[in-house]
Amino acid sequence: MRTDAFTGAGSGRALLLGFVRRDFANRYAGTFMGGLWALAQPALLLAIYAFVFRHVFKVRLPDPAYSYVTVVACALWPWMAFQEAVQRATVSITANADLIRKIRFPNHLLTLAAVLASFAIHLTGFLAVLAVLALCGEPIHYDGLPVALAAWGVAFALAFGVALVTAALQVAIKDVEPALGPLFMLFFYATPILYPLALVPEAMRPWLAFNPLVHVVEPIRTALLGGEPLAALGALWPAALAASCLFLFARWFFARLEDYFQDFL
Amino acid sequence: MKKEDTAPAPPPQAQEAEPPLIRLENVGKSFPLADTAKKRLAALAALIRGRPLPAAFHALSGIDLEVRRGESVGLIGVNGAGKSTLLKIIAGVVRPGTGSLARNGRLSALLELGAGFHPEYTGRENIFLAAALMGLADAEIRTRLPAILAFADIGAYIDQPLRHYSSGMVVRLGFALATCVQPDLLITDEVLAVGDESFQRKCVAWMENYLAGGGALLLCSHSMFHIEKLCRRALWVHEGRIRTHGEAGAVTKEYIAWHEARLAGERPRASAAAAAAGLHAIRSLALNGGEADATLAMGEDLHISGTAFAPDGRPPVVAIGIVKSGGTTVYGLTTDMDSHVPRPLPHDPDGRLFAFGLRLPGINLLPGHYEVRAHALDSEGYRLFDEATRMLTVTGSSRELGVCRLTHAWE
Repeated sequence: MRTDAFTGAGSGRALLLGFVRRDFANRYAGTFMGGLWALAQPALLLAIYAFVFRHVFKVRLPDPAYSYVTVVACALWPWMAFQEAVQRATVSITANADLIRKIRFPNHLLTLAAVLASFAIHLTGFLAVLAVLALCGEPIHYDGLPVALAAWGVAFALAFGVALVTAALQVAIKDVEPALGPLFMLFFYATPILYPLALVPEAMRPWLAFNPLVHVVEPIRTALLGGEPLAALGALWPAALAASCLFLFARWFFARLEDYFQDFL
Repeated sequence: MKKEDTAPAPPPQAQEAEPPLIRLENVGKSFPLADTAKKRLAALAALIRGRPLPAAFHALSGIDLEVRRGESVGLIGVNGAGKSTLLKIIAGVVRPGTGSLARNGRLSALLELGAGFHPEYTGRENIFLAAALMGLADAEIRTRLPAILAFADIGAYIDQPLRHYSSGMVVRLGFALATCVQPDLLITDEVLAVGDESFQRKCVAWMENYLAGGGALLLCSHSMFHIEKLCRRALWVHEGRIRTHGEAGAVTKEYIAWHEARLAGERPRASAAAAAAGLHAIRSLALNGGEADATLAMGEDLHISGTAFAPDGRPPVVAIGIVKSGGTTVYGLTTDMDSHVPRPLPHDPDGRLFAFGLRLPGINLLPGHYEVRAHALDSEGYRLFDEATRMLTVTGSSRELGVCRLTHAWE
């Protein structure tokens, strides 16, 4: 991401920081609880899933050392970060049409800021939930935390890549944003969030493997619950590869359309 | 991931040490017709594949322009002529479709004052984001903050959320920010039109100072006054092309004349000849009957008379003023202040010449040199077009001070 005569060295960071701050302000300005709402929503979802799947459907986990809540929590927060980042970043260009029409600046910073803000909020929630679970006596392997964070990094890159494409498309095609809701619902169940991958029948697993998010959430569980950080790191590579390819394409795609956002806004 | 200029920097010229701040050669811009979803999709597909647009609206074509350090260029034209698109291309917000564009030096574009402000933030917080948008780093903003606050001059409001501001305050803050960037070229689009009178004067004063300091200005305005005051050159953009480019005064006159002709053409009763005839004008001006500079003794009668031309055949408003040689206005009035309507000249076949006369008995101007000015305005008295002047010398001996003798008595 280069800078040019208009955004001198260093100011790209100032601008990005400003956009992230503004993103927070847009979400929580005037609320009493502020960022706490970001923690409350997934926590409530977690409570609902725990009730439905443990007490109604009586799901039995292969590894009885961990509660259902812990298994779901490991995947739910990264998923929330990914989904929210993509959904919010998709409208990052169209929602800031006034800015783009009047000022020259690297437009992708808007998209990046939306992704950053979502990940910052939900990573905080994730760490808070891990702390609470540990206090409740869940035997979480904290030596797996660096690998879990690396998986978060891959999720971030995936989200940014997807968001660059959807945000650029959204400028010309308004159907992108409404289509994301149903798509994400589909992906939510196609990703092992409410269930560990081990519960999926063998025959279906190769199909699930095409979903890069599978390779993000499963390594997090392997690292934090399985206690095998090295195996988790090894399992991360398909997602990392997908994220790199996607990012390269997304960067080209966004740059191609960036000059013409004006014409559609 | 940034907007690329379409052309590399121009080759350095032998006779000129410094390249122009901006150089546009044959620049054109088309916008995709994107009114329906289907057309948007077609335009998008063309852009992704790098093909020409299937259907386009031509906003600009064949624009050539150079602005060098220290130059001031005005941009005029009717609404929709393409002025804003041109400014956006120069500012780098819009990529030109055809032609080449080269920029050198630091550009600052004020296409809208307060663009990038967030209503929930305080003025101070907004300064940082807006300045970052203008390309300043945090450290630079911090050093310039006192100057920005001083120029904006909105007092304690600076720590209030922006939604509590009046629109005038937002504009003050926006312009204050622009002043702190110290660009080589400042591009502004009608930003002077929004502020109040004192703010406008402050901005004009700042711009004059900036120009005197070697800054370059590209000013888009509907105020011919501002164009003539601030710009040496002017560019008239009409229907996406340059119509006239030259000395500011000449271009604005032509522009006003064109408007007059257009307005006259729109009036149902006006003849085509009137439309072609041009502007309201003072055709003759006489002092005490003589069409020349006059001398009279203090206390004598002064009779100012003349004829005014009205292209639309409706009685014009005539303004008359007496000005001391230093520039102080002694007295001024217009015909419509006294509900006086100039009479048509009886022998004028067109009916477009009108006579006016003003008698000032026993004029008590103190001895000295004065100027008598007459202006022709349109029938509504809205627009002032022409000025005729005569020198008036008042003779006599008096040790009184000031410009005129007031009726007085010592007791």
